[in-house]
Amino acid sequence: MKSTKILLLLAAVFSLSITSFAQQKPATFIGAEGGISLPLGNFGKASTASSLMSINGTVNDLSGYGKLGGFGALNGAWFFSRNFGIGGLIKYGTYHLKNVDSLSQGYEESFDVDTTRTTTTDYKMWSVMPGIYFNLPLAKKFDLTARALVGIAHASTPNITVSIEDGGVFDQSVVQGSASKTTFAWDIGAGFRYEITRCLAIDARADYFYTKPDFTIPNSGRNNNAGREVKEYNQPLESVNFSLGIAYQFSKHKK
Amino acid sequence: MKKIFSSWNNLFVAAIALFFFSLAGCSKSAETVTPALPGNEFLTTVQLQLTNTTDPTDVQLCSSTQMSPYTHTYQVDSIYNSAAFLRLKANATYTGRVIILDETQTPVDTVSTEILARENYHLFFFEPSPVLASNFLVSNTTTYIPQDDWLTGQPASDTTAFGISVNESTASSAATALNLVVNRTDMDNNNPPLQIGLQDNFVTGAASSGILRVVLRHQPNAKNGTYDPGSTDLDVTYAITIY
Repeated sequence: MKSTKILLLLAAVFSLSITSFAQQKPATFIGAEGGISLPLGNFGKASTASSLMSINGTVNDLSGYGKLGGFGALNGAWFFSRNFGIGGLIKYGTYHLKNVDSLSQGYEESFDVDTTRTTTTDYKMWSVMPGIYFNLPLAKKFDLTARALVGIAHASTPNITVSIEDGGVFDQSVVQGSASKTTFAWDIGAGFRYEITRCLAIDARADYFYTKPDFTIPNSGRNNNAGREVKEYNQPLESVNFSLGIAYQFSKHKK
Repeated sequence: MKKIFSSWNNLFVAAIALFFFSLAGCSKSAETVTPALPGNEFLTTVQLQLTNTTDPTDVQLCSSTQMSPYTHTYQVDSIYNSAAFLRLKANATYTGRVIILDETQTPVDTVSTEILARENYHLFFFEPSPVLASNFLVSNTTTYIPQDDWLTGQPASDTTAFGISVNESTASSAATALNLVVNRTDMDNNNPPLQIGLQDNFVTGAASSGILRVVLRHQPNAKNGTYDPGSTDLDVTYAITIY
Protein backbone atom coordinates (compact mmCIF):
# COMPACT_ATOMS: atom_id res chain seq x y z
CA MET A 1 0.00 0.00 0.00
CA LYS A 2 2.77 2.33 0.91
CA SER A 3 4.50 1.88 -2.45
CA THR A 4 1.21 2.41 -4.27
CA LYS A 5 0.74 5.70 -2.45
CA ILE A 6 4.22 6.80 -3.42
CA LEU A 7 3.60 5.92 -7.06
CA LEU A 8 0.33 7.81 -7.06
CA LEU A 9 2.04 10.81 -5.50
CA LEU A 10 4.81 10.74 -8.11
CA ALA A 11 2.27 10.44 -10.92
CA ALA A 12 0.41 13.42 -9.51
CA VAL A 13 3.59 15.48 -9.31
CA PHE A 14 4.47 14.56 -12.88
CA SER A 15 1.04 15.41 -14.17
CA LEU A 16 1.10 18.71 -12.36
CA SER A 17 4.56 19.44 -13.64
CA ILE A 18 3.62 18.76 -17.21
CA THR A 19 0.46 20.80 -17.11
CA SER A 20 2.11 23.67 -15.28
CA PHE A 21 5.48 23.98 -16.91
CA ALA A 22 5.46 22.20 -20.24
CA GLN A 23 3.67 24.85 -22.13
CA GLN A 24 6.70 25.75 -24.21
CA LYS A 25 9.76 24.09 -25.67
CA PRO A 26 12.84 23.89 -23.47
CA ALA A 27 15.61 26.29 -24.36
CA THR A 28 18.43 25.39 -26.67
CA PHE A 29 21.60 25.12 -24.61
CA ILE A 30 25.29 24.48 -24.65
CA GLY A 31 27.06 23.36 -21.55
CA ALA A 32 30.13 21.99 -19.91
CA GLU A 33 30.20 19.19 -17.44
CA GLY A 34 32.75 17.23 -15.52
CA GLY A 35 32.82 14.51 -12.97
CA ILE A 36 33.97 11.11 -11.94
CA SER A 37 33.79 7.86 -13.85
CA LEU A 38 33.52 4.50 -12.16
CA PRO A 39 34.81 1.67 -14.39
CA LEU A 40 32.64 -1.44 -14.41
CA GLY A 41 33.19 -5.09 -15.26
CA ASN A 42 36.61 -6.44 -16.15
CA PHE A 43 37.68 -2.92 -17.08
CA GLY A 44 37.54 -1.98 -13.41
CA LYS A 45 38.97 -5.23 -12.04
CA ALA A 46 42.52 -5.90 -10.92
CA SER A 47 44.12 -9.32 -10.73
CA THR A 48 45.80 -10.38 -7.53
CA ALA A 49 49.57 -10.56 -7.48
CA SER A 50 49.45 -14.30 -6.83
CA SER A 51 47.41 -14.85 -9.99
CA LEU A 52 50.11 -13.09 -12.02
CA MET A 53 53.02 -15.10 -10.67
CA SER A 54 52.89 -17.81 -13.30
CA ILE A 55 56.49 -18.49 -14.15
CA ASN A 56 55.81 -19.04 -17.82
CA GLY A 57 53.80 -15.85 -18.05
CA THR A 58 50.19 -14.79 -17.76
CA VAL A 59 48.80 -14.17 -21.22
CA ASN A 60 45.85 -11.89 -21.96
CA ASP A 61 44.80 -11.13 -18.40
CA LEU A 62 41.20 -9.88 -18.61
CA SER A 63 41.56 -7.37 -15.81
CA GLY A 64 41.74 -3.80 -17.03
CA TYR A 65 42.99 -2.22 -13.78
CA GLY A 66 40.87 0.87 -14.47
CA LYS A 67 40.66 3.14 -11.43
CA LEU A 68 38.03 5.75 -10.65
CA GLY A 69 38.60 8.29 -13.41
CA GLY A 70 37.70 11.81 -14.29
CA PHE A 71 36.20 13.39 -17.36
CA GLY A 72 35.08 16.63 -18.86
CA ALA A 73 32.54 17.16 -21.60
CA LEU A 74 30.86 19.75 -23.76
CA ASN A 75 27.28 19.19 -24.79
CA GLY A 76 24.31 20.94 -26.21
CA ALA A 77 20.84 20.34 -27.53
CA TRP A 78 18.03 21.91 -29.52
CA PHE A 79 14.48 20.92 -28.60
CA PHE A 80 11.99 20.34 -31.35
CA SER A 81 9.10 19.58 -29.01
CA ARG A 82 8.05 20.23 -25.45
CA ASN A 83 10.05 17.28 -24.18
CA PHE A 84 12.40 16.06 -26.87
CA GLY A 85 15.39 17.45 -28.64
CA ILE A 86 18.50 16.48 -30.51
CA GLY A 87 21.96 17.22 -29.33
CA GLY A 88 25.40 15.89 -28.82
CA LEU A 89 28.25 15.34 -26.42
CA ILE A 90 32.01 15.58 -26.79
CA LYS A 91 33.74 13.98 -23.86
CA TYR A 92 37.30 13.30 -22.77
CA GLY A 93 38.25 11.18 -19.80
CA THR A 94 41.21 9.43 -18.26
CA TYR A 95 41.62 6.55 -15.85
CA HIS A 96 44.71 5.85 -13.80
CA LEU A 97 45.56 2.22 -13.15
CA LYS A 98 44.71 0.78 -9.77
CA ASN A 99 46.56 -1.91 -7.80
CA VAL A 100 49.79 -1.26 -9.65
CA ASP A 101 51.53 -2.61 -6.55
CA SER A 102 50.10 -6.08 -7.13
CA LEU A 103 50.80 -5.80 -10.84
CA SER A 104 54.42 -4.96 -10.08
CA GLN A 105 54.68 -7.72 -7.50
CA GLY A 106 53.36 -10.21 -10.03
CA TYR A 107 56.16 -9.27 -12.44
CA GLU A 108 58.70 -9.48 -9.64
CA GLU A 109 57.67 -12.95 -8.58
CA SER A 110 57.25 -14.17 -12.12
CA PHE A 111 60.76 -13.07 -13.10
CA ASP A 112 62.14 -13.94 -9.65
CA VAL A 113 64.07 -10.71 -9.30
CA ASP A 114 65.09 -8.37 -6.51
CA THR A 115 63.18 -5.29 -7.64
CA THR A 116 60.68 -4.28 -10.27
CA ARG A 117 59.84 -0.68 -11.08
CA THR A 118 56.50 -0.41 -12.86
CA THR A 119 55.57 2.81 -14.60
CA THR A 120 52.09 3.24 -15.99
CA THR A 121 50.27 5.86 -17.99
CA ASP A 122 46.49 6.23 -18.14
CA TYR A 123 43.61 5.01 -20.19
CA LYS A 124 42.47 7.91 -22.34
CA MET A 125 39.12 8.14 -24.02
CA TRP A 126 37.50 10.60 -26.39
CA SER A 127 33.93 10.21 -27.45
CA VAL A 128 31.64 12.09 -29.78
CA MET A 129 28.02 11.10 -29.45
CA PRO A 130 24.91 12.73 -30.93
CA GLY A 131 21.52 11.62 -29.73
CA ILE A 132 18.13 12.33 -28.22
CA TYR A 133 17.66 14.70 -25.28
CA PHE A 134 14.64 14.65 -23.03
CA ASN A 135 13.42 17.37 -20.70
CA LEU A 136 10.56 17.24 -18.22
CA PRO A 137 9.81 20.26 -16.00
CA LEU A 138 9.19 19.25 -12.40
CA ALA A 139 8.94 22.74 -10.93
CA LYS A 140 9.34 26.29 -12.16
CA LYS A 141 13.13 26.15 -12.30
CA PHE A 142 13.69 22.47 -11.85
CA ASP A 143 13.73 19.92 -14.69
CA LEU A 144 14.26 16.25 -15.06
CA THR A 145 16.65 15.61 -17.96
CA ALA A 146 17.67 12.49 -19.79
CA ARG A 147 19.62 11.59 -22.89
CA ALA A 148 20.38 8.60 -25.07
CA LEU A 149 23.44 9.01 -27.25
CA VAL A 150 25.14 6.88 -29.86
CA GLY A 151 28.46 7.64 -31.49
CA ILE A 152 32.11 6.78 -31.55
CA ALA A 153 34.78 6.56 -28.92
CA HIS A 154 38.52 6.69 -29.40
CA ALA A 155 40.23 4.86 -26.54
CA SER A 156 43.89 4.32 -25.72
CA THR A 157 45.24 1.73 -23.33
CA PRO A 158 47.95 2.61 -20.86
CA ASN A 159 51.63 2.10 -21.47
CA ILE A 160 53.13 -0.19 -18.82
CA THR A 161 56.90 -0.28 -18.45
CA VAL A 162 58.48 -2.77 -16.05
CA SER A 163 62.13 -2.23 -15.18
CA ILE A 164 63.82 -5.31 -13.77
CA GLU A 165 66.74 -5.30 -11.36
CA ASP A 166 68.36 -8.37 -9.98
CA GLY A 167 71.68 -8.75 -8.24
CA GLY A 168 72.47 -5.12 -8.95
CA VAL A 169 71.98 -5.67 -12.69
CA PHE A 170 69.27 -3.87 -14.64
CA ASP A 171 67.94 -6.10 -17.37
CA GLN A 172 65.95 -4.94 -20.37
CA SER A 173 62.62 -3.42 -19.46
CA VAL A 174 59.40 -5.14 -20.44
CA VAL A 175 57.05 -2.75 -22.19
CA GLN A 176 53.36 -3.23 -22.81
CA GLY A 177 52.75 -0.45 -25.26
CA SER A 178 49.70 1.70 -25.63
CA ALA A 179 47.12 0.72 -28.24
CA SER A 180 44.36 2.89 -29.67
CA LYS A 181 41.09 2.06 -31.30
CA THR A 182 38.04 3.95 -32.50
CA THR A 183 34.78 2.13 -32.20
CA PHE A 184 31.05 2.35 -31.58
CA ALA A 185 29.92 3.74 -28.21
CA TRP A 186 26.71 4.63 -26.48
CA ASP A 187 25.63 6.53 -23.41
CA ILE A 188 22.37 6.72 -21.56
CA GLY A 189 21.67 8.78 -18.49
CA ALA A 190 19.44 11.05 -16.52
CA GLY A 191 19.69 13.93 -14.10
CA PHE A 192 18.29 17.19 -12.93
CA ARG A 193 18.64 20.77 -14.12
CA TYR A 194 18.17 23.84 -11.97
CA GLU A 195 17.92 27.25 -13.58
CA ILE A 196 19.94 29.74 -11.58
CA THR A 197 19.23 32.61 -13.98
CA ARG A 198 17.20 32.97 -17.11
CA CYS A 199 20.23 31.97 -19.16
CA LEU A 200 22.19 29.70 -16.90
CA ALA A 201 21.41 26.35 -15.38
CA ILE A 202 23.33 23.77 -13.41
CA ASP A 203 23.09 20.07 -14.08
CA ALA A 204 23.63 17.02 -11.94
CA ARG A 205 23.42 13.72 -13.70
CA ALA A 206 24.42 10.08 -13.91
CA ASP A 207 25.21 8.23 -17.14
CA TYR A 208 26.11 4.73 -18.19
CA PHE A 209 28.73 4.60 -20.94
CA TYR A 210 29.69 1.59 -23.05
CA THR A 211 32.22 0.89 -25.74
CA LYS A 212 34.08 -2.28 -26.68
CA PRO A 213 37.23 -1.68 -28.64
CA ASP A 214 39.24 -4.69 -29.78
CA PHE A 215 42.78 -3.68 -28.92
CA THR A 216 45.87 -5.35 -30.32
CA ILE A 217 48.51 -4.51 -27.77
CA PRO A 218 52.11 -3.99 -28.86
CA ASN A 219 54.66 -5.58 -26.55
CA SER A 220 58.37 -5.00 -26.69
CA GLY A 221 61.50 -5.78 -24.74
CA ARG A 222 60.22 -9.20 -23.73
CA ASN A 223 63.02 -11.66 -24.32
CA ASN A 224 61.75 -14.52 -22.20
CA ASN A 225 58.35 -16.04 -21.57
CA ALA A 226 57.56 -14.78 -18.10
CA GLY A 227 55.38 -12.18 -16.47
CA ARG A 228 51.98 -10.77 -17.41
CA GLU A 229 51.67 -10.23 -21.14
CA VAL A 230 48.55 -8.78 -22.74
CA LYS A 231 48.50 -9.16 -26.51
CA GLU A 232 44.76 -8.67 -27.07
CA TYR A 233 42.24 -6.79 -24.99
CA ASN A 234 38.64 -7.12 -26.08
CA GLN A 235 36.70 -6.27 -22.95
CA PRO A 236 33.94 -3.65 -22.67
CA LEU A 237 35.14 -0.30 -21.39
CA GLU A 238 31.99 0.47 -19.48
CA SER A 239 31.49 2.96 -16.73
CA VAL A 240 28.99 4.86 -14.65
CA ASN A 241 29.64 8.58 -14.78
CA PHE A 242 28.51 11.14 -12.23
CA SER A 243 28.81 14.74 -13.28
CA LEU A 244 28.04 18.34 -12.46
CA GLY A 245 27.68 20.85 -15.22
CA ILE A 246 26.67 24.31 -16.19
CA ALA A 247 24.58 25.16 -19.22
CA TYR A 248 23.94 28.37 -21.14
CA GLN A 249 20.34 28.51 -22.37
CA PHE A 250 20.07 30.62 -25.49
CA SER A 251 16.38 31.21 -25.76
CA LYS A 252 15.23 31.48 -22.17
CA HIS A 253 15.23 35.27 -22.30
CA LYS A 254 12.66 35.14 -25.07
CA LYS A 255 10.00 33.71 -22.79
CA MET B 1 26.25 44.04 -23.24
CA LYS B 2 25.72 44.01 -19.52
CA LYS B 3 24.00 40.68 -19.83
CA ILE B 4 26.80 39.18 -21.83
CA PHE B 5 29.41 40.14 -19.26
CA SER B 6 27.34 39.45 -16.21
CA SER B 7 28.93 37.44 -13.40
CA TRP B 8 26.85 34.37 -14.24
CA ASN B 9 28.02 34.42 -17.81
CA ASN B 10 31.59 34.78 -16.63
CA LEU B 11 31.02 31.71 -14.52
CA PHE B 12 29.95 29.84 -17.60
CA VAL B 13 33.00 30.96 -19.54
CA ALA B 14 35.19 29.98 -16.58
CA ALA B 15 33.62 26.52 -16.53
CA ILE B 16 34.37 26.06 -20.23
CA ALA B 17 37.96 27.23 -19.67
CA LEU B 18 38.31 24.90 -16.70
CA PHE B 19 37.15 22.05 -18.87
CA PHE B 20 39.88 22.65 -21.43
CA PHE B 21 42.54 23.12 -18.74
CA SER B 22 41.50 19.82 -17.21
CA LEU B 23 41.99 18.07 -20.54
CA ALA B 24 45.55 19.29 -20.70
CA GLY B 25 46.40 18.43 -17.14
CA CYS B 26 44.76 15.14 -16.33
CA SER B 27 47.24 12.78 -17.92
CA LYS B 28 50.32 11.71 -16.00
CA SER B 29 52.31 8.58 -15.39
CA ALA B 30 52.56 6.73 -12.10
CA GLU B 31 55.43 4.64 -10.80
CA THR B 32 55.57 1.81 -8.31
CA VAL B 33 58.72 0.19 -7.00
CA THR B 34 58.37 -3.32 -5.60
CA PRO B 35 61.32 -4.45 -3.49
CA ALA B 36 62.32 -8.06 -2.98
CA LEU B 37 59.96 -10.13 -0.93
CA PRO B 38 61.38 -11.77 2.18
CA GLY B 39 61.81 -15.52 2.33
CA ASN B 40 64.01 -16.31 -0.68
CA GLU B 41 65.68 -19.67 -0.40
CA PHE B 42 69.42 -20.21 0.15
CA LEU B 43 71.46 -22.16 -2.37
CA THR B 44 73.57 -23.94 0.22
CA THR B 45 74.67 -27.02 -1.69
CA VAL B 46 75.40 -27.78 -5.33
CA GLN B 47 75.78 -31.37 -6.44
CA LEU B 48 76.66 -32.98 -9.76
CA GLN B 49 75.34 -36.47 -10.27
CA LEU B 50 76.85 -38.29 -13.26
CA THR B 51 75.94 -41.69 -14.64
CA ASN B 52 78.08 -43.50 -17.18
CA THR B 53 75.93 -44.17 -20.26
CA THR B 54 77.58 -47.54 -20.89
CA ASP B 55 77.83 -48.60 -17.25
CA PRO B 56 74.83 -47.54 -15.14
CA THR B 57 76.60 -48.73 -12.01
CA ASP B 58 79.23 -46.04 -12.55
CA VAL B 59 77.48 -43.20 -10.75
CA GLN B 60 79.54 -40.27 -9.54
CA LEU B 61 78.30 -37.63 -7.12
CA CYS B 62 80.18 -34.57 -6.03
CA SER B 63 79.07 -31.82 -3.71
CA SER B 64 80.10 -28.29 -2.86
CA THR B 65 78.38 -26.88 0.17
CA GLN B 66 78.23 -23.91 2.48
CA MET B 67 76.81 -26.01 5.30
CA SER B 68 79.33 -26.54 8.04
CA PRO B 69 79.91 -30.26 8.54
CA TYR B 70 80.65 -29.49 12.19
CA THR B 71 77.64 -27.41 13.19
CA HIS B 72 75.43 -28.16 10.18
CA THR B 73 74.62 -24.48 9.89
CA TYR B 74 74.81 -22.23 6.85
CA GLN B 75 78.18 -20.43 6.58
CA VAL B 76 77.71 -17.63 4.09
CA ASP B 77 81.44 -16.92 3.62
CA SER B 78 82.73 -20.51 3.62
CA ILE B 79 82.82 -23.36 1.13
CA TYR B 80 83.26 -26.93 2.27
CA ASN B 81 84.67 -28.88 -0.66
CA SER B 82 85.88 -32.13 0.81
CA ALA B 83 83.36 -33.88 -1.44
CA ALA B 84 83.74 -31.50 -4.36
CA PHE B 85 85.60 -33.81 -6.71
CA LEU B 86 84.74 -36.19 -9.53
CA ARG B 87 86.61 -39.24 -10.80
CA LEU B 88 85.50 -40.01 -14.33
CA LYS B 89 86.55 -42.75 -16.69
CA ALA B 90 88.49 -41.73 -19.78
CA ASN B 91 86.80 -41.72 -23.17
CA ALA B 92 83.36 -42.11 -21.64
CA THR B 93 80.06 -40.27 -21.77
CA TYR B 94 78.16 -39.49 -18.62
CA THR B 95 74.68 -38.12 -18.31
CA GLY B 96 74.72 -35.50 -15.63
CA ARG B 97 72.29 -33.47 -13.64
CA VAL B 98 72.76 -30.54 -11.37
CA ILE B 99 71.10 -30.75 -7.95
CA ILE B 100 70.81 -27.61 -5.87
CA LEU B 101 69.71 -27.85 -2.26
CA ASP B 102 68.69 -25.52 0.51
CA GLU B 103 69.84 -27.48 3.54
CA THR B 104 68.72 -24.81 5.96
CA GLN B 105 65.21 -26.13 5.47
CA THR B 106 63.69 -29.17 7.15
CA PRO B 107 63.12 -31.24 5.15
CA VAL B 108 65.85 -30.17 2.74
CA ASP B 109 64.47 -28.06 -0.10
CA THR B 110 65.48 -29.11 -3.60
CA VAL B 111 65.92 -25.72 -5.20
CA SER B 112 66.79 -27.17 -8.59
CA THR B 113 63.12 -28.04 -9.08
CA GLU B 114 62.37 -24.34 -8.68
CA ILE B 115 65.14 -23.52 -11.12
CA LEU B 116 63.52 -25.92 -13.56
CA ALA B 117 60.19 -24.15 -13.04
CA ARG B 118 61.98 -20.88 -13.78
CA GLU B 119 63.88 -22.33 -16.70
CA ASN B 120 63.07 -19.46 -19.03
CA TYR B 121 65.61 -17.20 -17.36
CA HIS B 122 68.21 -19.53 -15.87
CA LEU B 123 71.27 -20.89 -17.69
CA PHE B 124 74.17 -23.05 -16.45
CA PHE B 125 77.75 -22.70 -17.64
CA PHE B 126 80.49 -25.30 -17.26
CA GLU B 127 84.13 -24.38 -17.71
CA PRO B 128 86.70 -27.21 -17.63
CA SER B 129 90.22 -25.95 -16.93
CA PRO B 130 92.80 -26.04 -18.25
CA VAL B 131 90.66 -25.98 -21.35
CA LEU B 132 92.13 -26.99 -24.67
CA ALA B 133 92.43 -23.70 -26.54
CA SER B 134 91.22 -25.23 -29.80
CA ASN B 135 88.06 -26.46 -28.07
CA PHE B 136 87.30 -23.18 -26.36
CA LEU B 137 84.41 -21.52 -28.16
CA VAL B 138 82.02 -19.07 -26.57
CA SER B 139 78.60 -19.04 -28.23
CA ASN B 140 74.93 -19.16 -27.35
CA THR B 141 74.98 -22.97 -27.42
CA THR B 142 78.29 -23.82 -25.75
CA THR B 143 78.80 -24.00 -22.00
CA TYR B 144 82.10 -22.09 -21.83
CA ILE B 145 82.47 -19.00 -19.69
CA PRO B 146 83.95 -15.96 -21.48
CA GLN B 147 87.57 -15.42 -20.53
CA ASP B 148 86.96 -11.99 -19.10
CA ASP B 149 84.93 -13.64 -16.36
CA TRP B 150 87.46 -16.36 -15.57
CA LEU B 151 88.91 -16.72 -12.12
CA THR B 152 92.55 -15.84 -12.71
CA GLY B 153 93.86 -13.79 -9.85
CA GLN B 154 92.67 -15.87 -6.95
CA PRO B 155 95.13 -16.37 -4.06
CA ALA B 156 97.01 -19.65 -3.79
CA SER B 157 94.99 -20.46 -0.71
CA ASP B 158 91.79 -20.40 -2.74
CA THR B 159 91.59 -24.00 -3.79
CA THR B 160 89.10 -26.72 -4.43
CA ALA B 161 89.41 -30.34 -3.28
CA PHE B 162 92.97 -31.72 -3.22
CA GLY B 163 94.39 -28.21 -2.99
CA ILE B 164 93.95 -27.43 -6.69
CA SER B 165 93.81 -23.71 -7.47
CA VAL B 166 90.47 -22.44 -8.71
CA ASN B 167 92.23 -20.22 -11.26
CA GLU B 168 91.29 -21.02 -14.85
CA SER B 169 93.59 -21.27 -17.81
CA THR B 170 93.95 -22.57 -21.35
CA ALA B 171 96.15 -25.39 -22.54
CA SER B 172 97.75 -25.62 -25.94
CA SER B 173 97.69 -29.42 -26.12
CA ALA B 174 95.50 -32.28 -24.98
CA ALA B 175 98.40 -33.53 -22.89
CA THR B 176 98.09 -30.60 -20.48
CA ALA B 177 94.34 -29.90 -20.78
CA LEU B 178 91.47 -31.34 -18.79
CA ASN B 179 89.90 -33.46 -21.49
CA LEU B 180 86.28 -32.85 -20.66
CA VAL B 181 83.50 -31.35 -22.72
CA VAL B 182 80.08 -30.57 -21.21
CA ASN B 183 76.96 -30.17 -23.33
CA ARG B 184 73.56 -29.12 -22.08
CA THR B 185 70.72 -31.44 -23.12
CA ASP B 186 67.58 -29.75 -21.75
CA MET B 187 65.61 -26.93 -23.32
CA ASP B 188 63.38 -24.25 -21.85
CA ASN B 189 59.96 -22.90 -22.82
CA ASN B 190 61.15 -19.77 -24.60
CA ASN B 191 60.43 -19.16 -28.25
CA PRO B 192 62.75 -20.28 -29.74
CA PRO B 193 63.75 -22.68 -26.94
CA LEU B 194 67.07 -22.10 -25.24
CA GLN B 195 69.26 -24.51 -23.30
CA ILE B 196 69.09 -24.73 -19.51
CA GLY B 197 71.88 -26.99 -18.21
CA LEU B 198 70.18 -28.85 -15.39
CA GLN B 199 70.58 -31.95 -17.61
CA ASP B 200 73.87 -32.43 -19.38
CA ASN B 201 76.28 -34.76 -21.12
CA PHE B 202 79.83 -34.98 -19.82
CA VAL B 203 82.19 -36.39 -22.46
CA THR B 204 85.67 -37.33 -21.32
CA GLY B 205 88.80 -37.78 -23.37
CA ALA B 206 92.21 -39.01 -22.38
CA ALA B 207 93.28 -39.24 -18.77
CA SER B 208 93.91 -35.82 -17.30
CA SER B 209 93.06 -33.63 -14.33
CA GLY B 210 91.94 -30.12 -13.61
CA ILE B 211 88.92 -28.24 -12.36
CA LEU B 212 85.35 -27.73 -13.48
CA ARG B 213 83.71 -24.43 -12.67
CA VAL B 214 79.90 -24.37 -12.65
CA VAL B 215 78.06 -21.06 -12.82
CA LEU B 216 74.30 -20.51 -12.77
CA ARG B 217 73.30 -17.27 -14.43
CA HIS B 218 69.96 -15.67 -13.58
CA GLN B 219 68.90 -13.73 -16.66
CA PRO B 220 65.38 -12.36 -16.14
CA ASN B 221 64.04 -11.11 -19.45
CA ALA B 222 67.57 -11.28 -20.81
CA LYS B 223 68.33 -14.95 -21.43
CA ASN B 224 69.61 -15.44 -24.96
CA GLY B 225 71.99 -18.36 -24.56
CA THR B 226 75.03 -16.25 -23.79
CA TYR B 227 76.78 -15.71 -20.50
CA ASP B 228 76.75 -11.95 -20.15
CA PRO B 229 73.19 -10.87 -19.35
CA GLY B 230 71.89 -11.06 -15.82
CA SER B 231 73.63 -11.93 -12.60
CA THR B 232 75.20 -14.99 -11.01
CA ASP B 233 73.11 -17.16 -8.69
CA LEU B 234 75.86 -19.64 -7.86
CA ASP B 235 79.51 -20.17 -8.71
CA VAL B 236 81.27 -23.34 -7.56
CA THR B 237 84.39 -25.24 -8.60
CA TYR B 238 85.08 -28.97 -8.46
CA ALA B 239 88.28 -30.97 -8.80
CA ILE B 240 88.19 -33.41 -11.72
CA THR B 241 90.26 -36.48 -12.38
CA ILE B 242 89.87 -38.45 -15.58
CA TYR B 243 91.55 -41.85 -15.36
